[in-house]
Amino acid sequence: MFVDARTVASGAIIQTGICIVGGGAAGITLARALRDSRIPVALLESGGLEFDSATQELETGQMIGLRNYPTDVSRLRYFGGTTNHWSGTSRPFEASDFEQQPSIPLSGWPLRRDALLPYYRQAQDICQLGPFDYDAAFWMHKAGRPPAAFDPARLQPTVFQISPPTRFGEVYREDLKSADNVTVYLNANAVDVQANATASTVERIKVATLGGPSFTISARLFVLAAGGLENPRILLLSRGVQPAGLGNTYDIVGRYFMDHPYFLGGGFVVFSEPDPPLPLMILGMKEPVVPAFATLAATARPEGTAGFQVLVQGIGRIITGVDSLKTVASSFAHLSTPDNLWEHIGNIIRDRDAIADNAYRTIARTRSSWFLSGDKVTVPHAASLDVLLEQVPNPDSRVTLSGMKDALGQQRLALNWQFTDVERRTYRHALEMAALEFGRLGLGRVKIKPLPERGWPDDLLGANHHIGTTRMSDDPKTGVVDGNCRVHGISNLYMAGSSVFPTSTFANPTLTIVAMSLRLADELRRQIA
Amino acid sequence: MTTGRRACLRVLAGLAIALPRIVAARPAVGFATLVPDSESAVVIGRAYLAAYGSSDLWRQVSAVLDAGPEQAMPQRFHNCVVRDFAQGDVVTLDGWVLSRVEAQICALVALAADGG
Repeated sequence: MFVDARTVASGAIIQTGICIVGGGAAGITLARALRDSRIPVALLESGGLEFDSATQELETGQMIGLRNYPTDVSRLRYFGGTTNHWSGTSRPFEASDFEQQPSIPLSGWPLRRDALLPYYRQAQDICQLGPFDYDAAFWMHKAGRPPAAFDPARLQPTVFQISPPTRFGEVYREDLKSADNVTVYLNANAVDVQANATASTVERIKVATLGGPSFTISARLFVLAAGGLENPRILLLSRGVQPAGLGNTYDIVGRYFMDHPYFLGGGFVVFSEPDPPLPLMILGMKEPVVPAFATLAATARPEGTAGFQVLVQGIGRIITGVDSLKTVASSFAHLSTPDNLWEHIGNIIRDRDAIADNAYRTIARTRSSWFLSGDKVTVPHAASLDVLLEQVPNPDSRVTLSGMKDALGQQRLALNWQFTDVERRTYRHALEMAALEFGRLGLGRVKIKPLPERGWPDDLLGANHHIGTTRMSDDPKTGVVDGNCRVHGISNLYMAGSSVFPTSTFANPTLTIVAMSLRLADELRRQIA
Repeated sequence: MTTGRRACLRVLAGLAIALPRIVAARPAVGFATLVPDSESAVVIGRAYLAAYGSSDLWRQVSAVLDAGPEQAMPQRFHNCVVRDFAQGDVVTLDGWVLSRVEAQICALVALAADGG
C-alpha cells in the first residue's frame, strides 16, 4: 500500500513492526524481502513517485573538500532513490576484499564473502543481471575473443555486468503496493531518530513533510537505508539524547567517507595492431558487460597500494560531454553559471552523439546503441585509459553538518572528501601495470599522465558511490555498526546500504548493497521472531 | 624535455607496429635500420639522451642484444623487449613507458642523426 504522508493527521503516532527509512536499492530490497513475513513494515520515502524539484533541493549540501559531484546531482530523492539514474554497472566484491590488507587501514570486514554468496546470487536476479559469472575468460570466449595471457599478479582482464539498469522504484513498485504487510509513506522525511534516556533503544522516528503535517512512527526495529550521505546526516541530526548524534559515542559517524576517484584519460595507449585481443568496447557491444583491467586479488597488490580499475576507452570523450552536461544543468538549476561554461558547451557539442546515445538507451531502456553504430564502435589504433581507484578509509574524509538549513529547518550536510598517499601511489601503480603488461604482451605502449606534484587534477571526480560513513566493525571504537549492521550500543537500530561498507574495493557498490540488504532482512526476521 | 604529442604518437605507433618485425641486422650495421621511422626515433632518442646521457650506450646495447641464445636479430630484440617489460626494466620518456633496450636503440639513432 502507498500512502501520501501529507494526508496523515498531524501528531499521529503510527505503530509498526519494522520502520525503514529510504526507498532506494537498500530500502526497497529490505521491504520486498519482508513482504511475506507478516511483520508490519513501514517504508518512509522522502520523495514521491516522480522527480520533484522542491524535494530534490533537500539533497543540496556544502562541498568543502576535493572536487566531486554536488550532492544534489549524485543522488535522487524520489521512490527508487539513486537507482533512478544508476548506470547498472555491477560486480561482486572479491573474497580478499573482505579480509584484512596491510596497505588498507582498518580493513577487514566482520563477515567473509562466503557468508554473502547466497545473497549475491539473489541480488544478481534482483538487479536483472545475467549468469552469476564474472570471469572475464567466460565472457570473452562467449564473444569469440579469447583473452591474452596477462599476469594476474600484475593486471588481468575483468568484467562488470550491466543491469538494464533496474529502476527499483518502477520494477518493484507493484510488489510493495500489493504487499499486505508493507506501507510505503511517500513524501515522508525522517528528521529525528528518538531514543530512550540511555540511548540503548530507539523508540520512534519523527517524520516531517514539506509544508504538511508531522507525525511519528513507533516500531520494534528501525533501519536507516537513506544512502551513504543521508544515513550519517540523520544520525548526526538526532541529538535528543546524545549531543554528538545518535550512535556517535566514539565520533565515528560521518567519518571515513569514501568514493571511487575517477581519472579520465589518466593514460593513453597506442596498440600494435588495430584489433588487439583486449576486452575493449567491442566486447561491451556484443555482451552486457563492461570490460576493464584490475589486480583482482588484494594479496597480489604491492604494499602501499589499493585496488583499481583501468578502463580502455576507445571513445573516451563520452564521459567528458556527459559530465559537462550534468555540471551545466546543475548550475542552471541553482540559478548560477558554471566555471568554464564555454569549455563545457564545447564538450557537449563535440560529444552530442554520445549524449544522444545515452539518452536513447535510458528512454528506450535498452543496452543497444543506436547513434554509436558502425565505425564509431570499431576498436581504434589508440585509446585513452581511464583509472578508477579504491579509496582507503581516512578519518579526515567525512560528512558533517553545515551551518545552512534546508526547507525542513534541518542542517544541511557538508562533504569533505580527502585522500591519502595511498591513492597517489595506486594511480601510478595502476598505469604502470598496464604499461608493463601491454608492453610485455606486445599489445602496445602506454603513456602515463602524471598527477600534479601537489593536489589533484582539476577534472577529478568521484563515481557517485558514497561509502563508509557508518562503517561496520566488531569494535565500536572503529565502527558505527556491528557485523549484523546493528548500531553499536543500540538494540534495535540498523543501517543498510554502502554506508556500512568498511572498505570501498574497486567494484561498483549496488550489487553488494542489495546482497547486504537481503542478509539484513534475514537478521531482522530473526530479531522479530 | 618536451616532445610534441603528435610526434610521440607517431613514434610509438611506429615502434609498436614495426619493432617486432625488424629486419635481421647486427647493431654495428646501423641502428637506423632497426626502427621504421628514424625521424620519430630521433625524437625519442633525444629524450632518452637528455634524461640518461650517452655514456657507454653502444656497449650496453650491444651486450644486451648479443647475450642469450643464438637467434635471428628480430627474435633476439623481441625477447629483450619482453624481458624488459617482464622485469620492469623500463624508462619513462615524456610519460611514455618504454623498454630500456628499445629506448636505447632510439638514442643511438639520435646520436647518429646528430653526428654523435
